[in-house]
Amino acid sequence: MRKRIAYRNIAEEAGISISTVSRVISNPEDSSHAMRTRVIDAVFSLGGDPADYGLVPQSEGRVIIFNVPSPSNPFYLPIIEAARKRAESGGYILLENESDLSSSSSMDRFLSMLITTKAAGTIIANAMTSEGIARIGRAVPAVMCSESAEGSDVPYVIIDNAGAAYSAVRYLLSSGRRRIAMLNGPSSYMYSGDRYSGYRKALLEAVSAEAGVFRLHRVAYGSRYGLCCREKAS
Amino acid sequence: MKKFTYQELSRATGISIATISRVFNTPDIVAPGTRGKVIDAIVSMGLDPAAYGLLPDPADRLIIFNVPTLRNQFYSPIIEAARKIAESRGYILLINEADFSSAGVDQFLLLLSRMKACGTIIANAMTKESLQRISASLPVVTCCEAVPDSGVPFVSVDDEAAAYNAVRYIVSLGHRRIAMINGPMSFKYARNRLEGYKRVLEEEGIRYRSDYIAEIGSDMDFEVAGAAVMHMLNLAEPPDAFFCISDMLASAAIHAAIRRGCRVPEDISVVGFDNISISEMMNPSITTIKQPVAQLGALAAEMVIRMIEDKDEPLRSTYLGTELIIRESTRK
Repeated sequence: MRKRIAYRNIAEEAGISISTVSRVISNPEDSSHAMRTRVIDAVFSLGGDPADYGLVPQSEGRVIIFNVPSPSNPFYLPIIEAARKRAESGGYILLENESDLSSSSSMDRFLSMLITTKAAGTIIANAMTSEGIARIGRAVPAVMCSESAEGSDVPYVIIDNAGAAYSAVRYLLSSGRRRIAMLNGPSSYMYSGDRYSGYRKALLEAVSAEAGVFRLHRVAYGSRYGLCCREKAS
Repeated sequence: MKKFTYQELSRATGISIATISRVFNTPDIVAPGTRGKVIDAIVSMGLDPAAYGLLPDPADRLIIFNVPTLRNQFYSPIIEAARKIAESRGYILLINEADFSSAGVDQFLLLLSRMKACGTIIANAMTKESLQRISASLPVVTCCEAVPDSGVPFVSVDDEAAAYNAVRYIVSLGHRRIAMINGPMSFKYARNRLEGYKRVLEEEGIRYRSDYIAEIGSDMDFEVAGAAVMHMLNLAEPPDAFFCISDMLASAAIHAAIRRGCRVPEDISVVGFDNISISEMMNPSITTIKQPVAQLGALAAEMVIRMIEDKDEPLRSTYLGTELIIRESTRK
């Protein structure tokens, strides 16, 4: 599948001299980026792999794995896209994996994949226990995105869920609504508890009694639509 | 369930019992080579490593699924179906997002080689040359898109027939001023769906109008689509039906029509494509073409795995059928 290509052919393809090809291949760091690119492109065009010629510097093309739970929520899609763009500008490849990481076999598979792909790091969007994320963090640098793990010191990036929920419910209250129901996500997620706190805080400030909370296990539109039709909130 | 002792394994592999225990209990700190030796020993005892929680070494079993954009939810169930098949056969499936129309495939080839991928599934619009460059390096199949004369196997849908059915339905409701909100013409689906649309117009003696056609980018930008629809609704002779090649564009069309003061479906009918979740959630819910997403993903994965495992086996490409789902966005 990967042929050994003569320097003569590379030189011809790249439009440079054989001695230049030889120089670039023996000392890629000393060659200009432009010259290295020409040789790399020529090798590709001839069906070869630049890695065989030592032309790909170690720091380039390292991979970061972004993991989302399965099945995945479209919410993550623009987040992954933004992460990928930033990774690329730093010289990294970002690939997406979907794994629920909730069973020991899926964790094993995930860790083993991180090792095999020599991942430089990973971003985890799942709800995790502190043991789970610690296991991952021991294998590669890991950060959590839009979730955090209680009791863990793995770094994370999240929004102020409580504050956001509080603002949303305050807004509903400000338009005169009083019987405000909450359709929440699974309690395994930190966001779920935090948004409930925000909701509750806004309500307690405005009314004396709590409205009903429907706890859902999956944010699945079809099945819950029926529930909403039957229960009337204001 | 165990039919061996750690002692036996230790003797067979020369690895200490403590390490063998770690292979089973804390595999994340064991070197792949060590685990491989234990797996080999178990296999030579006639037993299945997977039964003991030891998967085959995932090295050399990576498939990369490439999509042009992650923003289109249409790909999600396809990827999920592909992943399930890949996993059941001991492969890892990772998703890459790259648009080859501007950057070309060099970066992608580099990625495949860096990751030592053993196969790839591509959902992008491809030129014959790009696809052939990739197929010279490793097993590749295309999914949704197809370049039949490239020799690369594909699983796709009959886009022309799907569009024909959708527009036929629109005509059957009494519409004759039918616009099409299409995707980029670099995509086979866009070209073929336009053909289906045109075929109905011809059969019905409806004049084809280029000002009734819009081409939106593959990221399905909501505002751009809405602006295109608004522009058409401001024409001296505005359309009274929109055939959109994605439910995302159909949602934008419905929004624009309502903002313009039109009622959907009473004044304007809208048909989408793909049957993604928004088609049910939108109010009015969107009449759409359901794509066999699970089969698209599963077949693509099966095909590429077959190519990986048996390089000489010739594969038959497939065109799958689609289904019109009638909902609230079309006139009764």
